[in-house]
Amino acid sequence: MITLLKQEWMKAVKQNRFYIWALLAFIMPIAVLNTLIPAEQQFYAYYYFGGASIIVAIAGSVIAALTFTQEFGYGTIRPLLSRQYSRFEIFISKIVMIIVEYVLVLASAILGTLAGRAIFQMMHGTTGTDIDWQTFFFAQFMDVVMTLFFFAIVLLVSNLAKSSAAAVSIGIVLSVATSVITAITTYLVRFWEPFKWNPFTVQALLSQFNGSKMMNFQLKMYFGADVWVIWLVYIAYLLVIYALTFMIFQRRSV
Amino acid sequence: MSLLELRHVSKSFGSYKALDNVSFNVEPGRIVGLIGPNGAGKSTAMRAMTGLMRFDSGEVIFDEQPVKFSKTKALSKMGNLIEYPSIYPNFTAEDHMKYYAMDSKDPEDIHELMKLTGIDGPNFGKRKAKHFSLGMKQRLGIAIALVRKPKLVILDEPMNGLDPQSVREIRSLIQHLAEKGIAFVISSHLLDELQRLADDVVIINKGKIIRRATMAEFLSEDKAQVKVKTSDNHAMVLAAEAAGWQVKMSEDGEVLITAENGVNAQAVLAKATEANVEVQDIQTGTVNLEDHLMEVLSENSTRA
Repeated sequence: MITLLKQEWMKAVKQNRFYIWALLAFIMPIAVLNTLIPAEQQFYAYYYFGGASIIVAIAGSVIAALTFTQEFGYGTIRPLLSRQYSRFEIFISKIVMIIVEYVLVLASAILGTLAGRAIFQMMHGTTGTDIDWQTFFFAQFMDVVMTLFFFAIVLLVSNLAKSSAAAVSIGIVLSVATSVITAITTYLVRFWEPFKWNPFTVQALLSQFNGSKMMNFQLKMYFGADVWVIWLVYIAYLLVIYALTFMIFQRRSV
Repeated sequence: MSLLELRHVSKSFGSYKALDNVSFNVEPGRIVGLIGPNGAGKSTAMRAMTGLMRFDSGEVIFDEQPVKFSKTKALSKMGNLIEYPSIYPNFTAEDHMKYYAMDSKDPEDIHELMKLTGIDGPNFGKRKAKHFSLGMKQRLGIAIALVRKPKLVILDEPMNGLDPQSVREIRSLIQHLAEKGIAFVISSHLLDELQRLADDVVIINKGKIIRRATMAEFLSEDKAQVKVKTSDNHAMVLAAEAAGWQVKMSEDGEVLITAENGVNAQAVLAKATEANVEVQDIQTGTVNLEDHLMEVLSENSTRA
């Protein structure tokens, strides 16, 4: 497994150059926070990394989409699978590396935001630059947890389609259109109430989870179940989608 | 004990039988030529050998372990280049070697292997693989197949895109490695090349193995052929057929005579004299691998 992870890392750095995303995610908040965001809006801008959150989201979708599809595209899937490793080991190493790359890009955006904030404070003073650190880092943690769902969908599509273009497109669409999908699924709930348990609605509503009593109450009211039950359903969806993706990968002759 | 053994392997895609009860062995240090027309099942057989494809029945044993679809430890000692070189466009040749060498606790010396396969020159250097020519990619693919010190190397069309000089170098390298005990299964459309390289021949057609032999045996089956130009080809044909020989007319208007038990120029001249036919030119020779393969394939399709 360690060898597979090292190889995935080598591909991440030399083939896919994920560090370019990390670099962009670092530079963008510094530039945006110090040129476009006035003091009174600084506080809010920190939560979306001065606009770099979209870079993080697109980076996540591209990284996830390419992980499998490029192996099919380059024909490297054959040497990848005709080795001594099990397909499960290969699958897990890829998932781990997607998460590692995503977390590094996210960390880079966080560092860029903090650097941008520090520069802003030096130039314009500290007014409007307070951060509630607990809320800020909890939001980032939730982002990673919720992105696992998004990765699962992109990986499922990329294993079905084997096409980088299809997987990247769907990934990017999903990364910016989750609100649209959620709106549609929420609308459909009106016609059949149990539909509220569909994975998109569960993910969308849980993504707003912040641990507050008010949020717990709202979730409980909507689903008619305790928050832990909703989390359990979310985890079950994740496991099912990843298992389905693995089954497709496992059965594929190349 | 064979290094690789295919036992009654069958694989169908819908109603199409890609492999039909395929069995053959590969011994250590032997170079096996897997020959057949396009769509005969060569690549499918190679995919079955490397654990890339599920097959419907039969088994593949490599280094005393069954090759499974998902995990086979022994595959660490098998190198392959199937259909086209698998290359990461942004890697250099050295990156590829380092990447694939990680799979082995005891890989080949990367720089030595790069030198041997001719991928260490200024053309390679720090250039990314996306800028390589087909021949360069092919050399790199062969180097990748060798980097883990394999016991068996499976090469599908390894000479594709190589210039004559490179073909000669790769041929020498394969022969050198075979002398050291590494076995090869090679498919190629360059039959002259296979004739020079392979120790054994496995002929596959429509998913079935139709002949297995050593190259020497296979070529010794070649009937000597006598080519004669005469004053009366019709009379020569009748005389040759009366002697029980097989006769064909060449496109150049020569009579081509072969026989199961062999035929020589003296016997043909004697028959021509008996038939009062004047011989203007006579040449003897043997059928090469390509001709013989065509003959075997045509016999096979006639029987089918």
